[in-house]
Amino acid sequence: MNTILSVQQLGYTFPGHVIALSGINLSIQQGRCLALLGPNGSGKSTFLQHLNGSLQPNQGSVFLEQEAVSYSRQGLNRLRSKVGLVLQDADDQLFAASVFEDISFGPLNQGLAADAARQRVEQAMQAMGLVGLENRPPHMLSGGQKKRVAIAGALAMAPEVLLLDEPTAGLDHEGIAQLIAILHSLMQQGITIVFSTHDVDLACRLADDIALFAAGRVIGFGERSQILLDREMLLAAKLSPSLLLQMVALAQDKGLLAADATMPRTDHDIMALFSHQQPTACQTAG
Amino acid sequence: MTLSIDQYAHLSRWRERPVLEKALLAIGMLLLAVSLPPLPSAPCIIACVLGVTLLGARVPLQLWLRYALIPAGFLLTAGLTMLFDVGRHGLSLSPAGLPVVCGLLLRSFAGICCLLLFALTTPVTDILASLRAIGLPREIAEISLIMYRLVFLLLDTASAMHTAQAARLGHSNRRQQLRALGLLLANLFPRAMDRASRMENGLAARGWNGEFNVLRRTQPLSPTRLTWTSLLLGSVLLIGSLFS
Repeated sequence: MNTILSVQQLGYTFPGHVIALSGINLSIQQGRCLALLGPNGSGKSTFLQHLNGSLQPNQGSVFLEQEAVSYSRQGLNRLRSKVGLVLQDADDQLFAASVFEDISFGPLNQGLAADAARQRVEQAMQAMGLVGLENRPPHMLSGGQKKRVAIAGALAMAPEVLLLDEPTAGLDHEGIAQLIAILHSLMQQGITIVFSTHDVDLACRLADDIALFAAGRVIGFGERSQILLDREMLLAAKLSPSLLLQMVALAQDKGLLAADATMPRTDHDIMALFSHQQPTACQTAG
Repeated sequence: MTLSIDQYAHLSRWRERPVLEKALLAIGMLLLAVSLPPLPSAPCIIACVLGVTLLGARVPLQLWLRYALIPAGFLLTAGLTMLFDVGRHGLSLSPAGLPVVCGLLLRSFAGICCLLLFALTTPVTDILASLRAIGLPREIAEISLIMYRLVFLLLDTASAMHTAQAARLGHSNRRQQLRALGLLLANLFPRAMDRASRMENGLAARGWNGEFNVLRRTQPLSPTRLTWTSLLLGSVLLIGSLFS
């Protein structure tokens, strides 16, 4: 498997001596989905901003395809063409008069000709389910629509990696469902996805790998099941196992789920697992 | 939340029409209203423009009334005061008299109708883009655009803060209210700066190089519609100058 992005001994201190990140080593595999899981203030967003050069590390380096990132204008342009960033608050990202114009901003900055850019915009709008909203100004969109426009703006630049900062923040149930469907289809196209979240269920549902953040450090990194089923490690990161994770552990205890089987992703999956079982415990109690 | 006139313009049926076409009609009629003697041209213009607004662009009558009544109210009060003269002998009827005032009112109302047609079908951003096309410097156009975008965000923030203050009884008396307003304004500034720096980050992530290049979708001008518009303007001009 190819490593597309990696960081070595990365450290970052905010002006005023607030240490945000220290000693982070992480490599991101091409075509996989990585969740940066951790509580508020654990450094996930700060880390995410290092991955596309929005922040420059005080210590250590970021590598794009094994090559140390250069923070010259050209180096940053190269990095940002390959690594798209979607901010937590879509309003920070949308500036143009209409959806169509906003999405065209990135491709034009990449130096694409008008026709090619137009094509990119149309593809991105199609992929994000935004067709029909071309002329809407950003302030007349719903939260979910704004989010999708923000993603489309990054996607229109044809990135290989898409970074999303708390992608479900502020979205309702329907908005989250739409977003998850969209991210799944992007993964199928081979786009590498890195997102930050404090929601263990979201990480369980989407991620292949998880990096567990606590107080500016990565305290655990591995495949999804490896991190999520380690109760002690989750607690150390001030997260707690959700009902879903507890049920997965229970299913393993009861022998309903083999230890090497694929870990269920949604509550739907785990319910299905339990509903096939004879209700033994309840019967003996009754 | 009530929608602003600009938001209606975005939803208008004529939103997609080229700005030039709408401007030719609305501004053309406005110029005629100003330059021709008010009778009979002003009633003609009012009828034409109102017809186009309500039947062509399908602006709902209620909506139109809402926006027309406010300036109409100003006109009426202005007209009433012009009817009278305050002189040495106290209040007297103005020597200019009724016909002049009526003419003025008609002419002004025609102007309002023209501007409303334009405002209710053409969003600010479209107007800016067109001004840019006819030579407004790029910097001014871009700054206006960003300001236009940020004003809505700032208003949202301000109204959320206002609600939050009210919820904690920040406006319980006049003194409190003043204090709360001061706090709100003081808080708004750092927030705006914060927002600006985050926005800069977001733009940089998409390769911003100091210029806001975006693709504009433009509709080609329709010769048919231009011809009709010219005919309409021509006939009003003819009627206005022949029968005055």
